[in-house]
Amino acid sequence: MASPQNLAANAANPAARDQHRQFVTFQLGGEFLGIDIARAQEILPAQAITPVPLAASHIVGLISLRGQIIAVVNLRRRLGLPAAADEGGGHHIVVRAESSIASLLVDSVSDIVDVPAGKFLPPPETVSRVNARYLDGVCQLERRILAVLDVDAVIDAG
Amino acid sequence: MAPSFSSSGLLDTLSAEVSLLREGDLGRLGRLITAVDAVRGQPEAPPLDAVRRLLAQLALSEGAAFETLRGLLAEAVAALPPSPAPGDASGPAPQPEPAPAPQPLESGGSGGAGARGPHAQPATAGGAVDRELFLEFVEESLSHLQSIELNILKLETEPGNRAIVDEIFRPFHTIKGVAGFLGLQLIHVVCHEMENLLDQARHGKLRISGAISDLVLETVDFLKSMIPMCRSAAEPTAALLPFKGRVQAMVERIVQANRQGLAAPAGSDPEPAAGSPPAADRPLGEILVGNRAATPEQVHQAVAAQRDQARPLGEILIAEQHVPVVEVAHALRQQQTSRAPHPQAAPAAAPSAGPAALAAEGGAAGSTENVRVRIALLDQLMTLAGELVLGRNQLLQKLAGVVDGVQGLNSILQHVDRVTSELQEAVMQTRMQPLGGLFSRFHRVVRDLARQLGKDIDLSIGGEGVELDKTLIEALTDPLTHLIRNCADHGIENPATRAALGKPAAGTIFLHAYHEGGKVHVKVGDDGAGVDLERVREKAIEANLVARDKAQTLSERETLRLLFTPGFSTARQVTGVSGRGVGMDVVLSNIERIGGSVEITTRPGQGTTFLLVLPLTLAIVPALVVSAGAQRFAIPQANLLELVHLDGEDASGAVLQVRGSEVFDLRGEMLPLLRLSRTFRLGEPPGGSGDGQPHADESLSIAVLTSGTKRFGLIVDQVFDTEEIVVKPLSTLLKNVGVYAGATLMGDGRVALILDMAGLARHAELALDDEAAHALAAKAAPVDAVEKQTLLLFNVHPSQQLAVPLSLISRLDTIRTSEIRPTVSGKVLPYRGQLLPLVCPEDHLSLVPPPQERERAHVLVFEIGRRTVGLVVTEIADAIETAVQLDDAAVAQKGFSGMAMVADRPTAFLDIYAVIETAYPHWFAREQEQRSRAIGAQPATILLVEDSAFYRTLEKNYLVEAGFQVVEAADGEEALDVLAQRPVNIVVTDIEMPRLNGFDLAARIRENKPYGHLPIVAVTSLSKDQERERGLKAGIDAYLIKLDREQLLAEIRRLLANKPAAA
Repeated sequence: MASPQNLAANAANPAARDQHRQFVTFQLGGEFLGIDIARAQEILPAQAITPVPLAASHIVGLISLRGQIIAVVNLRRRLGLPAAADEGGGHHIVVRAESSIASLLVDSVSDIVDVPAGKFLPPPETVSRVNARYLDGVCQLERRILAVLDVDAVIDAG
Repeated sequence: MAPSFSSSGLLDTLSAEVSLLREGDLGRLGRLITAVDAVRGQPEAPPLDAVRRLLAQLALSEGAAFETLRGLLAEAVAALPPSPAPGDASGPAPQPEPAPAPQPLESGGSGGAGARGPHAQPATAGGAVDRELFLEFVEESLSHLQSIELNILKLETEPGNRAIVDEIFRPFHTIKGVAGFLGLQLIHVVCHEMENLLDQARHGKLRISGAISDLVLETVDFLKSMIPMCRSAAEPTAALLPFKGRVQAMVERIVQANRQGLAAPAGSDPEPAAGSPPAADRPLGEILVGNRAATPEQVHQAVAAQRDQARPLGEILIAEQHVPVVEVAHALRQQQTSRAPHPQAAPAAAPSAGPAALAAEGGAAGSTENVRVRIALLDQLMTLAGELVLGRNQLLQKLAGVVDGVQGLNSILQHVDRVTSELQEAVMQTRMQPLGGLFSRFHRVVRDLARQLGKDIDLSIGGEGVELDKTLIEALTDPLTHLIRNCADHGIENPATRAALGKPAAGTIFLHAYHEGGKVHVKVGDDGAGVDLERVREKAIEANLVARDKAQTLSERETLRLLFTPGFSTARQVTGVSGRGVGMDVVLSNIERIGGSVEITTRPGQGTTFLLVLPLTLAIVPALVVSAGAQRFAIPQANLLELVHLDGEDASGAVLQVRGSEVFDLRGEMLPLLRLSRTFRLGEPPGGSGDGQPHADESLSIAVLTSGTKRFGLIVDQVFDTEEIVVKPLSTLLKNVGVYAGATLMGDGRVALILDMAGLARHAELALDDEAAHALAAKAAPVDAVEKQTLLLFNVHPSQQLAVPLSLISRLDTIRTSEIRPTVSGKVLPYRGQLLPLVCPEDHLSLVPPPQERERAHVLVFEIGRRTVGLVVTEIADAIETAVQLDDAAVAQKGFSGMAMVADRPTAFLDIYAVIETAYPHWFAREQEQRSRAIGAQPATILLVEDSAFYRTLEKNYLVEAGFQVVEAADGEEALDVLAQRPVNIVVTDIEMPRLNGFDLAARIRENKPYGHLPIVAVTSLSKDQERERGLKAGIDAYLIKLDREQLLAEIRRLLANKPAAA
């Protein structure tokens, strides 16, 4: 696990950051996905979501995060994965993109993994059902492959 | 220093000193207080509290109050008991002046010894007084320092003005006095030296150069950092000790500046202040270090940064906040002394943070000490304050049961409540800015305009101090610019014209702001020609914005309102300045977007005034909370005209159907209606009929709204209260939806969306415009001689323009192509809880296929008989009213009714029925049978009476297609001629026609023996019960909505089956 001190040290020292990267990992429609921990602000349990009529179909609605109103992205729909039975349930991962903050709906948050930078590779086209344009890269972990999302592509393009 | 006093010695001193006290002689007062304090601490001291208190009060009083207090003090001193302990008779050793200069300025105040009076009761006072005094000293000094800053800046524009020098001198003197009085030696010393320096200037012995101004400002900054230390500290004198080193340096610099200034008094500038060697050609960094403005490390860093950034060193140091602007300007001036004889003007050489920035900083300092804060941080504070309100509400709810049981809980909650509101208010306050900054920009604008237009224009500005929310000020920039351009261009006459009218050659544009009724009013106007109302009406008629006969009935206010209609311009010449027909509508919509309104008043020959009424802030707005489906929405009060609630029968009668759209008759005005739940596809409310038709038992809540010059009604499911809502920005992910102005948090913590009326109107615009135009047309019969149709222009691929008559379309919607689902019988779209059959025209007609990656598409919804079908198109280009020459031979392919030039492009007209029939042939299977039967028999002849050649062609096509013979007539008279010449089986007629309309035609047919029995079908675009009744009375058998082909054919067949054919 990454302590804030570690994170700060890593951020300050490019060499250290190059050596290791940390990802928040989660399950979504059978895929094993991750987000760079530097982009994840917090993880929330299920929230009361206000739908936004006429919005893009992958926008579930809005929630209030301590008074700040942020959009909730249905990550399954965004990534083209099969829909879940319960659309609004699951956890929220609040992420920071270039221009905004948004919450990504995920099934469950697994863990935070620490990956040596050398294991982080550009995304091949076929590794996952997720369109490569939403991926930042992939990592081979012990038992499975972690597909790391490009938060900006997921949030900003839509 | 801690002189020791005896009480007897003190008594003598006091009686002597009291008579010598002069107003403003704070040094003397200070010494007395020190002396009294020293004695008070001793055992067996006389009761000195009253004396101490009076001395303190004297320090802060002036004029008559001073004299009164001095009298009281004299009495109090006289009342003191004689001391029992003689000896130690040293007087109150006065604190030595730290510098040799004579104490200047002994201002007024007559002497007069106080008479010895009776005993006074010693009052109880003590430390509290001290503390209060210090606090007061800090506040007063800070405001004095501010006045010094302002006056220094003033002096820059009026160098040598001794009155201003006096104004700078005096506050230093006052601070010095009080500081001495309070024993704040370090402050006293600095002020004293500065006082000496300025005293020379007051007497003309020294010129206040740029360098000296800088030194004064620097001293002010230094004192500003030092003085507030006295506020919180228990022991103020000790709190200042850390400043000792810097005070010495400062004093040294002031003394040196004084000396150098005196050495070179006559006009020429003194050497740089800091006692550094001549600065010319020395590097800036070195000068700054020499001036102790920057450390060598900071300069090294900045030099390193300079290599990367290619910015001037000074700029980097300022940006890094290592060095104040004034220091850099000062150093630059030093650098330039040898080159510039009058370095006062030298800051021009400073980097981008040059004189403007310097002045701006000085000006900003005019309020209080300023810190630059990011707006985002303020927004966050605002948000957090709002959260606090929520938290408090939840707390109140949870504690409601126990609040009475716990003593004091209620008052704690109330306290939290109050603090929260005040916090919110204070944060709001931080967003406010004076309008002056914005207003002053227009001097330049007006000057440029005047030159461009060859006019002479003055700008009069007022109310610069009126404050508005920063975001509002930003939003005001464009509209104000436009209005001012308008005044300059349209309002102000040419100098020659003005002269001929006896007006001053120079026109005036005014821009005034003031508060009224809790709102900010901004008046923009001119003393020019005024608006020519007649010309406005003419223009509006020309531009088809209003019918001619209606135009003449418009009031002045209504006429002026036309100026805000999109596409309106009265400029006789199109100039580079204005007159392109864009702008005024944008002005209105921009102002309305920020919750404001615009009114125009004009007087011929005297000018035009635009009054903008604006809310103080955008962050909190009053809004009406409504619901649609299960969701709540907020409607800004600024857009809300009224609320109409209709029950049962009222509701069903009030909503009319015009071409498939709903219209509400609001006191004679045809108001287009939108159903929020339908627009947002939220499902019909419980009790709604689901088919959009008003039910007898349905009650309706209509919010009558305004956006720009449009008015419309919004049907909502439920109306709640009006609330002050905190507007929060919408996520950038939702910016392109376009129908929301933001979001807010409701009392229960749920998010609610704020509706943007302009966006909502835009979203439904086509329907609205059509309905409004139609309602107007219905009122303003007879129809124009030139035949016009309203067409919807669209395309599947941008290279091919397609059209259908707008009246055929019952709805328009935007969809995502990903929502389209293929089925065995064709493509469908989940739509309002049902599956809408779709037709993609490119699948059935030879059209260029849509561009790849089409994510969104538009659906044109048609009601065909009992079926609803959607036509999927790529782009909706426009809805225009235009005259069309339809060439029906140009396209032979089934599915097209012809070609015409529309909006300068060849345009193919879709025969929507044929297209749908191609896509869903089984829908028409029965009709085919009927048709073949009809063809087998003698085909019936239809007399089609329709003044519009366009509609006539369309209708004729349907009828011929269905197997009928068609004879055409352009109006009732012509129809009667036809009837006289040949037999027909049925008459299909329009209602509104020139010469003889449909009602009269029907009446004439019924009167006439040979064909009095003919079935008559009337088709019209307006369905209103009274019209229908009138038609039935005239003898019309069926009354149909124009262009509903299925219904028309069914009705014709029914009538032909019932009635025998004509002979």
